[in-house]
Amino acid sequence: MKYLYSWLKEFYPNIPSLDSIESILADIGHDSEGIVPANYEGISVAEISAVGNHPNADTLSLVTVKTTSGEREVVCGAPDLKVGQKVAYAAIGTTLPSGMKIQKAKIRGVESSGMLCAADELGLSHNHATLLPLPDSAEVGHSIKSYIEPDAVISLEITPNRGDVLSHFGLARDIAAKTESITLQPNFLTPEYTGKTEEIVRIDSIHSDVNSFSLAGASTEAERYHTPLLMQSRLTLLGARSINLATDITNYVLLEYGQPLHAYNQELLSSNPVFGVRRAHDGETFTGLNGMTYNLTPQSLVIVNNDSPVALAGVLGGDATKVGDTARNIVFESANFNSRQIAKTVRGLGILTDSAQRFSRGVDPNLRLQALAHALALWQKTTKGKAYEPIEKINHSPTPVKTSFTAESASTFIGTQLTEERISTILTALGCEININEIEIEVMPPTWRFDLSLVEDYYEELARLVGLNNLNMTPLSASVPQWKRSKFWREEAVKDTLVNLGANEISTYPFIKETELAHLNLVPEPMELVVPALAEKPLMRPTLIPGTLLTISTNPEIPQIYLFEMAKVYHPDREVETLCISASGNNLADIDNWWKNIFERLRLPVASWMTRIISLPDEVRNDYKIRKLNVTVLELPAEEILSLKQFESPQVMATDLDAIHYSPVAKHQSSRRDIAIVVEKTHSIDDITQVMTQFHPFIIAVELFDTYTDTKLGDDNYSLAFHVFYQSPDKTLTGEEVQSIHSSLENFLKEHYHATIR
Amino acid sequence: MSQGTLHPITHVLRVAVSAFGDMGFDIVDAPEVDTAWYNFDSLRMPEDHPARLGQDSFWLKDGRLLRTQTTNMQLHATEQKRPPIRVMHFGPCYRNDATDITHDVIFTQLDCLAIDEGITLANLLSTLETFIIRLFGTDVKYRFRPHNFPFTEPSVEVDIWHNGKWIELLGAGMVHPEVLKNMQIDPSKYSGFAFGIGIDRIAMFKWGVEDVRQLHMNKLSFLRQFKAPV
Repeated sequence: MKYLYSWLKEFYPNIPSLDSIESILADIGHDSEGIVPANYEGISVAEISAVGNHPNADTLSLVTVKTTSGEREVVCGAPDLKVGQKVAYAAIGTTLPSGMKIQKAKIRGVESSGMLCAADELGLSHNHATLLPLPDSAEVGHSIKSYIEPDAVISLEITPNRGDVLSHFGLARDIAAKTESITLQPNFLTPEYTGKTEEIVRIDSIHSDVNSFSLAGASTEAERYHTPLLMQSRLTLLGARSINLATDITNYVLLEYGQPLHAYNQELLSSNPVFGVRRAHDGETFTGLNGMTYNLTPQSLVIVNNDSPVALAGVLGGDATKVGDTARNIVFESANFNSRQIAKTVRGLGILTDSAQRFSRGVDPNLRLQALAHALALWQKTTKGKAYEPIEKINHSPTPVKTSFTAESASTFIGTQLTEERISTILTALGCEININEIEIEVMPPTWRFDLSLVEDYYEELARLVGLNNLNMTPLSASVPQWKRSKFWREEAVKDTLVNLGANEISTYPFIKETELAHLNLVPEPMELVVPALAEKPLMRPTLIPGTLLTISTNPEIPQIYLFEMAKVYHPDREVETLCISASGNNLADIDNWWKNIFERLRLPVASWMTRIISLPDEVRNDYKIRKLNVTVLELPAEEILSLKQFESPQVMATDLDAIHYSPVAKHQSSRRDIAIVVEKTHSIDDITQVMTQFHPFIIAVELFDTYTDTKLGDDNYSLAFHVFYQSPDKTLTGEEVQSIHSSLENFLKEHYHATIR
Repeated sequence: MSQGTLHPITHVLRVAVSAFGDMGFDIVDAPEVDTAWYNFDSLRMPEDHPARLGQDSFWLKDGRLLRTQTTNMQLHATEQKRPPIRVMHFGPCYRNDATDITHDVIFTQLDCLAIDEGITLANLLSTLETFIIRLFGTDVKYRFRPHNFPFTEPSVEVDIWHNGKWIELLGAGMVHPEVLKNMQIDPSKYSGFAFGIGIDRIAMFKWGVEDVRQLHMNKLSFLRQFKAPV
């Protein structure tokens, strides 16, 4: 959730400074996903150089201000303006935090070039009576940022157990409990009631998964009214949109106290409205405020007006009773729903709204009436309208569960000594009721904490508020190292043997397609995924060979490749740790030697093991687009090698990680051009390959993919075909750039090797 | 022929396994294809838990799934051993999520579990600190941060300071009493801690690997850089 620092500070004036807030929040378990300082772009310091009367309005002044780009005349409604006063000036084109864009406009017949800002217009405080105060020393033209208290939008990851901090008040309360061991109290406004809601609307039956359901009417005679600027600014800064007063109030109270509210347009409800909450009927449809229509099932609860759905309970209001900009009669709803029920609706319909998020984590059941009154008060204050005394139905009242433990048991579990006094101070600050008797500490959680019931839950709170980074650390009792002979270290010893012979260890994805098995003449019954990562690869590998082939295919620029992988293959009844070793390239003699080396090193009979190597046929190589002439593979259960005598007491070193130096692989695409030449056989393939590789720094690899001799070429000549790979470390080369190097390579071979380009 | 290379995950695992082996953690086995009981239910992640929704896990047509965490070892281990228990398990895990430079469908985790009479939060914090220092040296800047996991209470995350910001390294906590009960272990007598470490993540910030998916792309230009000095 996003929080505005200045709003937190309104609840908790002693809040730690913006500089230190990140670490304090982390300390109490609220991990920051970013803190973005308010920048007030386009709003700079200006100095009043003259104040005159507006010809057409007594309450407005004509103010001349000095800015860095000359003097500007601005119409302003603030009182007590003085020449020399420093003011926050928003130039034409500036967008204020409320989303309002400053345009050149005539105000009561006089043109105003910009605007002088009050604190509420900048999202800073409720003050609209005077302009934002700036010190006399403020320099004209500088951003106002340097002269006002810094503000920022703080994005936090709130863990699922802490629904109680999904509001500005809730988070401020948690911070105050940590930093000063105090329990913050809310500042709810109360309206002046001038009527009774039951004269407007009634509540019929509410479903048992609804804890409580409250409604209150509100009205106004005002033809036009606007959302207060601070409310607009805060909503906009926190990523909500200012829509209309009633809707804005519901969103504002949600962000302020965490109580979801909904506003119905009373004029769009049927006459004699009777509200209720029931399960949706199968096949019932509902169109939400978001314009989407949902097909409901009895899994969801709906709020009905004369049995017709007007809202998806706890989740989304309905389009049919939407509040418009000029609505004069509103019904506000404040309810408390069973959190599991709301989570079910969210899952069933796939919509997660701000309300649903709060309800599915649990909302303080004691908030509903205070938040409703607060909303009515905000309405009344802004519209000078009426507020009607709420009505409500209650199914369940919360019954917090008492738990008890001793200071000693808590201290033992945490491993740090805590006194009864310390425990009592911490838990009291969190809003718990504490009763210390002779035997133990009895604790009752506050109504807003749904996550406190087990003793371990309280131990967590104690550790959290003392600070995990302040607790004792005690090593485990000494114990005999267990590891030297385990299967893992035998595997590692086998890997070391292969690495010493030049092989590279790979790690491949376990998903394959059916045709990959057909090629290998394998007909096991592989296990199939319901929803695969890649649609064409729905099977779990019963062999490591496809992954190896894919790896050879992904590295065409490397002429000889030696690989191994030790990983599981999957069968319906078992998983088998498997070793797959491969050698591929054009030089068959090298490959044969390599295999012989391996078997010798493993002290295995070479002749019989050589027969176990599979040489893959052309059609398989072609299928994987492998141009190398020889691809040889040996796959076997790892145990067959691990059980060899020489791995009984493996001697393996843990790597010194810092001795490995990695530099990012070029992110730029390589390009391939092919070249076929006829040259005299006196020029060896190795020589030509090397010369070509060194011809230009952008040539990163040269790979022979075909040779042939023919009497037509002349008995002393042969034809060689190469892939040439081009890549620049700085950019992806264009086709022309590649072609230009490639052409000069051709010329070079013609001139120096008397090659014929085919 | 020149020296080949171990996979970067292997390098990190060798260090981690040595560190925990030295602290007495024994290596145990656990399957990659497992049932929902071991992967979810026994760990207090019931059917309506967000992590269990179909699209996040690879379910097999036979009703089992590819484990989403090596924490599935906990109930397997306690079926074989009774307290005192000090075990570790590591290997690939799978999540059917969108992939990007920090997420892949496959990733490697290492889990530890210790259960005995009188195991404390202080034991957990000390074990984590020992590991962090072994891996990153004594100059490492790290912090413990309260968190929330279904299977531990209290829960902790560890951040390390890397390139000017805090990066989450691992999740840990005291084994939840209900999980102990699922293991047929009496929480009034025994307590325990558990934690899980993302091995890929360590490779990413230890060496500056910029895209976690490189670990399974198997480009030799990438893999050959992880040559351990002889």
